[in-house]
Amino acid sequence: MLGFVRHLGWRSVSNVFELGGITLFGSQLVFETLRPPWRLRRVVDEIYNTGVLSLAIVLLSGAVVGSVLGLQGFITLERFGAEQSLGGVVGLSLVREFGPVLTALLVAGRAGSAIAAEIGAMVATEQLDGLRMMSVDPIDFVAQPKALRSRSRSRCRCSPRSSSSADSRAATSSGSACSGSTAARTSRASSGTSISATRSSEVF
Amino acid sequence: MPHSAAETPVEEKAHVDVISLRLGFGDRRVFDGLSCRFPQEKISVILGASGVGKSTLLRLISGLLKPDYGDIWIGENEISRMPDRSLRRVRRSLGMMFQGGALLDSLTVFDNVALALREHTALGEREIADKVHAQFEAVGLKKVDALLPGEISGGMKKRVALARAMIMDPKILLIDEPFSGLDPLAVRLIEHLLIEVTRTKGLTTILTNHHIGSTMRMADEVVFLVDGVAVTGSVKDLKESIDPRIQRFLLAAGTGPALEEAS
Repeated sequence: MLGFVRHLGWRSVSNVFELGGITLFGSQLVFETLRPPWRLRRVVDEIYNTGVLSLAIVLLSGAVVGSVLGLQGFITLERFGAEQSLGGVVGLSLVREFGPVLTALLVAGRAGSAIAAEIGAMVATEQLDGLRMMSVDPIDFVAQPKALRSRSRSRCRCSPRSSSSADSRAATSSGSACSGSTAARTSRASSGTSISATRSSEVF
Repeated sequence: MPHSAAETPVEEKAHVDVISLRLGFGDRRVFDGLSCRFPQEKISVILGASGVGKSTLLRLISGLLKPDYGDIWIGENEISRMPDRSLRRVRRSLGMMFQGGALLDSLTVFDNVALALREHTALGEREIADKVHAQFEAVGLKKVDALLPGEISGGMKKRVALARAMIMDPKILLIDEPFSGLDPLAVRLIEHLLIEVTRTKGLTTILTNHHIGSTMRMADEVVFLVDGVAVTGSVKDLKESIDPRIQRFLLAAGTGPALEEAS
């Protein structure tokens, strides 16, 4: 019984300690993100690594989902003689609903694992300590460009101009560019990246 | 207690002073009241068996680790309880060369060495390039600017790391195992470089080392770590020590009086 209480106390204390570390890291990251210098070159590199290099997998997933949606939609719509609506249905659902969520999940998953691997390797090879010894703050040098990159990516996903396909035009012509529900889902899905980032609070 | 200028002659004034240091990881106690001093403008070698805490002591001196108890003085600054922002200022007078180089993989060799200058000085790119190339020349590197750390050999990495550690003209040079994984020629080259920069720039050089031969050749002061405490002295003191723990170490390394007696 005493062991259980001791274990419970130890777990509680360590959880509070970890929560404090995450909060401290998060606030430090926000502070560094708002404060110049913004290291634009590193931010552009990060955007390229995460955004451009994820394009292939996002396009492939979009094409596959679009095809399946088209096929299944055609079978259903044909019964009602509404085949001509297929383009609009697929376009709207893919660009307004599936597209942002799929992109967010894929990019966040890919970027999250890439960030974890990169920072893990930097810790193991003492690169972060090397930065500290040069009086360079690792949060400012390593984490800030990644955080700025994540912010810019979220904005891109919410922007109607980010989609240039015919589907995008169909979506924008149908009403609001970025619905509240889509934004909320995007935000939830993209939180994978920020969780990965906050978990790295221990190494920083 | 720090040694005040009145108590200690200038030429013997310690640049780094470690006092009553205690450190443990969980139940394992690494240092238990360790005290030692590293004199100014001398090469001090931290010697000891594997796992005795040589690299840990170097990390404590650099402020990368905090002790459980005790003081670490870098000149007039006590760093063991110093906040990070102040510590960054003190670190500008320190240069550290890590065992594996710790070069940033995403930057070229040139950018690795230029990083500290770009961060902390207002120098233009041309002046930075001149300083970096002068440093490359000092450590015997040529045409490596555009290479990534993954594209150069282990010996070259160590030399780039040395160039990076010295680019800001530090007063104290901390070096972790500079000779590990190097062939005898490369060992002699790095040894020569370290002796030269210490003498010409008046640095206080502190290095951890397993290599007894190079320790004998280059050390002004030896700090021998054993059982969580330090035994200090010159190379001559080390050779003539009657401490069985030191004798055993030297015997295993193939040098010292114990070996002479045995032979």
